[in-house]
Amino acid sequence: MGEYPGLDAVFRESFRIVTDPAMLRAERNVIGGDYGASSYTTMAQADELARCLELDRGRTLLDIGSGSGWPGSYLARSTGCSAILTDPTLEGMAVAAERSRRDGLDTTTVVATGTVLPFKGAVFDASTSSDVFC
Amino acid sequence: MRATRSVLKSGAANCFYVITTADDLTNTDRERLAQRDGNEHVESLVPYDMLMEEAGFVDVELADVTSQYLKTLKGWKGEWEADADAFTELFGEEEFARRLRNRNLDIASTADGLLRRYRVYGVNHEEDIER
Repeated sequence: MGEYPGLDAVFRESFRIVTDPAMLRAERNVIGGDYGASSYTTMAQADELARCLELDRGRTLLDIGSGSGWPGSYLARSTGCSAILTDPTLEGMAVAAERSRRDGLDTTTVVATGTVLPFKGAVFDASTSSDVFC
Repeated sequence: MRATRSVLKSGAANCFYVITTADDLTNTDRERLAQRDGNEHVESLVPYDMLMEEAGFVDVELADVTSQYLKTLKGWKGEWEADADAFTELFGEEEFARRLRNRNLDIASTADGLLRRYRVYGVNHEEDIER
């Protein structure tokens, strides 16, 4: 995020309001989810990701720039896969972690940018991102 | 993309959505976009399918999902306008007006073919991967 000065503050502020009832109501009506999405991926498009990536129980997904957990948390919930969610903002990851906890999901949140991923090589079965700069 | 590929197992797929400027923009189009739209967008100097292949992904597929993107943009705009009092209270009058203005600019730029959204797919090819 440091590569895009100005956006950092915008996204940090955005994640403070994503769980506002008006935001969630609009999100449900437009994309079909209520994860505080900061991307334009609809639920149908998230389902398409699951199909393309052959997500299933026992597989591990990396969602880069997951923000407040969309669509990574949803994909973990709908397919049973494990998910590692990353985002440069602590605020987004805090929202995502809380949602995963409430949903009882097998997800891990990591504050990281897409260009410097703090993982060992060759560990993920699939990766995704939605409307992030990378 | 190279960073993503390095953490994927051999044969694992990367599938993502991206909003980008159209890859066939003329200089006039770029000027229109710059003058019209204060939002940040990735300028596609190289098409995403080529970027994926350069990063070492194989079986690359690019699907244009711009029409759904435009529908989603209009959907958000409609929701904001329908619930303007709540969003004005949430964002503040000035910020809500700025967000609505930017949304309208994105809608216009997308409808004019200046912005596109793609679903990009590729499979990690194991050979020559640098870790």
